[in-house]
Amino acid sequence: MIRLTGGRIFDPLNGIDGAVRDLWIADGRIVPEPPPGTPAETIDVSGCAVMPGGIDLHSHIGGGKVAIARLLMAEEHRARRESRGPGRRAGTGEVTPSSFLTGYRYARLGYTAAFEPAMPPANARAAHHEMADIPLVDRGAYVLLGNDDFFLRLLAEGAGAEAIADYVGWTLRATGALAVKIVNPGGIAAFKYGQRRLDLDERAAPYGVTPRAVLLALSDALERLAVPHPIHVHGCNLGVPGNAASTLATIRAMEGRRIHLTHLQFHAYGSEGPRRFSSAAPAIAELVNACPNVSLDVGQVMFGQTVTASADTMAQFRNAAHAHPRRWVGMDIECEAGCGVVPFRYRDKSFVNALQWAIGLELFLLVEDPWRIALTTDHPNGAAFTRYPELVRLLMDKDFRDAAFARLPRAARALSILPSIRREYSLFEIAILTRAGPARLLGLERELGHLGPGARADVAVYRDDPDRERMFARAHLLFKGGRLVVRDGEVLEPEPRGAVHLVRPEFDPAIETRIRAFFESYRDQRLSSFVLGEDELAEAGEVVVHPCRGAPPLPRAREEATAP
Amino acid sequence: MQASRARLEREVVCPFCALLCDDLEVAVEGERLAVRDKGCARAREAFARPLPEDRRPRLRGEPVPLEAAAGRAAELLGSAGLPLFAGLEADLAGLRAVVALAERTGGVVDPMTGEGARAQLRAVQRSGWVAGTLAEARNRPDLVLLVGDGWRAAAPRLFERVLAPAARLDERPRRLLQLGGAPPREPEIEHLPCPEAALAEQVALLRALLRDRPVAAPESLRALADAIRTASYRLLLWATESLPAPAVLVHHLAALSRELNARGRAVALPLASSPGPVTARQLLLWQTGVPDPVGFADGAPEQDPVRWAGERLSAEKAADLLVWIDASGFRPPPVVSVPAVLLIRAGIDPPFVPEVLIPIATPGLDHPGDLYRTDTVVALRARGLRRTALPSAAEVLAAIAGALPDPAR
Repeated sequence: MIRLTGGRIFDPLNGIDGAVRDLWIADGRIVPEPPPGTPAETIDVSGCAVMPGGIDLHSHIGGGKVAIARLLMAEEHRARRESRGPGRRAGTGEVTPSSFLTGYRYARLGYTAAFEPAMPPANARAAHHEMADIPLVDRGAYVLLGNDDFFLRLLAEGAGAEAIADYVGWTLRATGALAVKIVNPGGIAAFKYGQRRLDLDERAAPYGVTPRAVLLALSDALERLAVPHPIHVHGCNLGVPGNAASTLATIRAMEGRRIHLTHLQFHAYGSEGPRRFSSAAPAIAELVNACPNVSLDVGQVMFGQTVTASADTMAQFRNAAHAHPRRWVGMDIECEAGCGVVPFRYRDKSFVNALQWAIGLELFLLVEDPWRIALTTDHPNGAAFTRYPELVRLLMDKDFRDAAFARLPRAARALSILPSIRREYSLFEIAILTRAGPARLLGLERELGHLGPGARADVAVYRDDPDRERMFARAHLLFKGGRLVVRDGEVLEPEPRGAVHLVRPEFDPAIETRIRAFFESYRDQRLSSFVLGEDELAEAGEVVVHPCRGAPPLPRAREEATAP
Repeated sequence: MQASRARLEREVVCPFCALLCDDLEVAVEGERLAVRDKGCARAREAFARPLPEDRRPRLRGEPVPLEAAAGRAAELLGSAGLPLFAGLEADLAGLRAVVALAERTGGVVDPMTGEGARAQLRAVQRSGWVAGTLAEARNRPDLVLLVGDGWRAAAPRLFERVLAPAARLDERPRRLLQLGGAPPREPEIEHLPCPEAALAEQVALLRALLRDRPVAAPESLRALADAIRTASYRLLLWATESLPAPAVLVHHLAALSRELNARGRAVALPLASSPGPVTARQLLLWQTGVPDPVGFADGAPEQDPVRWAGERLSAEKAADLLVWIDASGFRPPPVVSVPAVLLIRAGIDPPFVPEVLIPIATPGLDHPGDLYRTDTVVALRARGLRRTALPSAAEVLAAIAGALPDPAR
């Protein structure tokens, strides 16, 4: 048994805001305080903040597009190479680190879970292979639907909500997924037919369905299946000036249904001002604040070289013109999806990039309810996850934020209200954005994201430091499943493999007959070689199956926060 | 034949080319396998190849127990300055063990599939491309340009599975054209003769025409350019390992795959000959961050297509130990004058007597294994069909790793 004593606990799901309390760990779990005299190893963490391990709900860490991104980022893989250490594997890379380094770097930041948000069904086995080699973090994936020909045909021929739900349920099981992601609804399929743009109510080639219909059908399917995480949406017109109109329309289209809007920064652009590019973050935040059915993550841009990897071939084909270095890869994938990979350098002297940075921060600061907004950079699309500490400081420290803002080009500053926003996030709120909130949004809160008895003992301890970037850059201690794996930012125990989190919803298996016929006729693949066996997943470590009881409600907190 | 005692396995994944067909019917009778339906000639031969009576590992030709062979291999690895891990015809579990061992012993990992595979990587890394997967290639294109005739050997069932399938989602009529190579036997494929030596030049010229450059070109090539220009979804397809002048050809083909998307669509689909090297490249990309060839000489992985090219390392004896892995019996190892440890499919005789020879099991036949298809996106699990006492590549490599002098290093 381990007793962490003297630390200030930030455990939003249990309403604890900085109270000094002991935390007890046994058999990999948080346990209630044992009777006096129980032998325990006591670790003094006085002066430290104690939080659940960080949870990244949107980070591209596994699958074919990451492999392509690494290929295109050859320079950084030459420049940053790490040798093996005692029990540690070697690797390379900065913004697209190799799998072992990805795990070590997350652990160093105090993170213990990360979720791959765009797994094409055809790539599921490969994505799980890769994620199994990311040590120290739990993992899971959202399977891509909404551009696959089987689904689009069901929708176009009016097969009905039940059949669609059965297919979605079947896919979640067959691919070992936790949730469903839609990217540019219908647009990836349309791009295969040369279509270059698609708005919410435009018809998508070749089946003539609209993104609105795709969104509603998949959203209803998930509700029927009672999958905890609602539809995870990368909407229409990513990156296009003026796309806020589509985003607002998308929110309204849901008519109260739960929706998670991902990397919303890339979808919050106006078309005002002298350069026809402006911030629409205030208008979007206002609607989000008024719609308790909406959650989001930001996809903050941080300045520097990175690479953008997305299933959105339509958007990435547009972005290819801005590739830096000048190279890009597109791919049509298996009558299901696509992928586009474009290296990109966000420059603080660029009007557009500076405004993107400001728009992301405006969203963070204008969305009122921290339970509905998750901290992400859409790794590596806005920046690598290793930039989170700097991002946290931007949210917590107005002076730091203002100083960064002052360095932006005048034209960009003129279009942002950022300096007028006084809000500074508290440690409690940061713990919501990076732990408790994502756990609740994903339906993991039974196991992860809190420090109450029964939770997995994934515990991050940070030395309190007024420089929040320094504070969050290196966990003082990190416990993974009760084992101490990081001390002062150094990985001690690289071995433990995280668990894989998924759902296995119930559905009518009769749908399999139709799926089989489609696979054999058009994809020329047998379901026996496509479906990921339960034993296969179990080979790669612990499998945690989360119950399908519907999306959890989004209250501000389980109970009133207790003051320290 | 005592067909009555044979068990029929359906939907068998074939590990013998990178198409990874999964519809084979195989009769299993004890250790004997026979493809009953759907297999190509290569599959029929490879499944049916009998296992030898004597499956013992050998040290310089003398039979020894596995422990002794693994121990000797570990000894050689422990004292090697630069071991070369090549062949890489194995399943994911075996390849994971290869990478771990190479990392630990400061070795080089290179499948040694030749200049074509390397040229293709270079083209993608330098300027990118637009690619497609097998199902896209089967369903969407209204025009397919086959460059050379290597596709037939690389992927024997390509014609029925991709080029002229029984069913397609998109029913627009399709034109199939083959530039160069021997005249195709399928009447559906139009042949544009081109001597092998001129193929690169013709493709360069074709690209120039499609970019509206003022070039002098024969009428047949102009007609091809027009056909490509007016098609809506074009597929460019070639067999990587058999391309002549691959550096030039793949550069132009990758560029074409991007440029043609300015109007309409186009994708490229290169064919690898075998799944092991495809699997290895994906694994290396995630575990080390870089593709083959990868060297761990200073402890950290490094991609260097010149320094770590296996052909050069073995020719110049810069690598002082060859570890060759071929669980499927695809390719003979290169004849080298340095010590060699060969892990090869049981029943395949190597072209020389190596220091260590360990017959191993074949994934998909003797044990389950994960393999990646030529399009790199789809991984399939090939299941085992029969019981043999043969160890898998992963098991042998684990035994070798366990016998290394300093297990903690």
